[in-house]
Amino acid sequence: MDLLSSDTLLTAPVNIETSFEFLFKTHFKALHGYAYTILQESDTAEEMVQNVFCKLWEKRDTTLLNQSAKAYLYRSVHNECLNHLKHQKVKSKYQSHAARNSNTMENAGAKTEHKELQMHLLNALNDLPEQCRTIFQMSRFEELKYREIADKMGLSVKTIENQMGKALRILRYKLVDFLLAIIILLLNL
Amino acid sequence: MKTEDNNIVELIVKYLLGEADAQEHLTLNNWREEREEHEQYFRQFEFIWAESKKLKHPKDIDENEAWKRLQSRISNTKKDVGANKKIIGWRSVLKIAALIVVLLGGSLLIYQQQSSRIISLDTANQVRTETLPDGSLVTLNKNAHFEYPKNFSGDTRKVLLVGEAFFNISPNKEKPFIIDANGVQVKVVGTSFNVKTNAQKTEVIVETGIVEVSKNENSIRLKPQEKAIVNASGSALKQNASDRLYNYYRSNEFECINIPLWRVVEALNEAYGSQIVIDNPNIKELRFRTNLINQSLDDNLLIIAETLDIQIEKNGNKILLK
Repeated sequence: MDLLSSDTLLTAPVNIETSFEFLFKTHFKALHGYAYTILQESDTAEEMVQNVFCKLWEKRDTTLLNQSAKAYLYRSVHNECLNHLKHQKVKSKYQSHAARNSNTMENAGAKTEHKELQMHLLNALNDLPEQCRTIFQMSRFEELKYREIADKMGLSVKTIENQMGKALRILRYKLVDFLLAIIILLLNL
Repeated sequence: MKTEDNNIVELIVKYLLGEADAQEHLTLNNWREEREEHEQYFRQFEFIWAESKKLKHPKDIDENEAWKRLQSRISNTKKDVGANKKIIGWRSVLKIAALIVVLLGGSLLIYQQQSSRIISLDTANQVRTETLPDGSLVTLNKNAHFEYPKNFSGDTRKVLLVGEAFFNISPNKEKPFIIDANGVQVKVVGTSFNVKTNAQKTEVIVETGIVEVSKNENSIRLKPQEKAIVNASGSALKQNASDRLYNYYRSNEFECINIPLWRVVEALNEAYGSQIVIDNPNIKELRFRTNLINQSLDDNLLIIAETLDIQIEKNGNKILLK
């Protein structure tokens, strides 16, 4: 039974610089994908991942990178993104409110409704508890199997199953009013 | 109703993810056909699942380019820090303050270096047992190199091992004991186990307690009588430790009873650095009825020849068993 995936570990890191680079390159794509699904903006997403690694670099002498690196990185990126959104919200509360409002007024019908659903979905996703959100990420966007997620997170398959059920249940609960309207609208198109 | 609801949601999700088996497909289909509301309920999940996909980033970003961007950002931050120091440098008051900080920092550093002074041990032709500052015992096999601090400060007990050693760690849950063995981390809180490293692999066998073996971000947990082999490429293997041959250098005895010849040969080759080869497939599985003492190889070969009734031939460096 191969427990450590050998293909990603072909060269054993010799010092902290190389293991840092290795860590970054191994996880960048997935973490960027994660930040993107939260922020829906590619450059900002990269900035968030950079922030996490910069902090890690500054603390490199005190942080022991061990088995929980993956879970740790996901958690950090999640927090970094949510913090960013919080700041953005305060900043843009007054600026963009009017603009967004007029935008919505211009488009009418199913298309707007659809856009709004996407926004609500995004918000609902971002409101999920961290672990739940991370598992959803791995399943939906990285398209990993339950078994693979369980291995990466150090959890049981049953837990992953529960967490995914929980995620979808919360999403449905938050979107149900919209869903009823939008499904009818889409059917009529 | 609530728990049934939970079950059906998990079933729906499994179905959407392609994780459901044939039986589960059938259950879900029956449930959907049962009532119109069921079908609607299912459709809502299906819709959310499909919609959420649209949030995904359209394409992957190259991690090597991203790495360059991160590197330039990190080196920029370093420069900024340097510039700041210059600006405040000409203010004489701050100069003095800075000097004090440097002096304090310096003495702290010296103090820390003193208390965390590294002691290194090397064994050549003899096995050696050492007591560490926390009361843990380490038995180093021949040709081992071991490093530990004079005091275990901080919240871990970190040591370094090249070669082979047996550890008996005094329990301290607050301060895990971490061995760096050829880039493989072995983490414990209080247990006993054997660690062996060479250029190709690191091998850990647990005697009591639980040991965590990790390389980079991956890790394996070992229970007593379990064994992990991590090779240089990072791949790891977990198996049961079927014998106690690894223990020879502490007990001065190879525990061979009921062990097949090929395994004993393997252990002897590792212990003596010899090249014993089994030249007759029929004797490979012969089992030992006696233990061997950790004495000269020739004496042991004699005993093997006598007890198993086999021929021994020397051919250059190779020793052939027939």
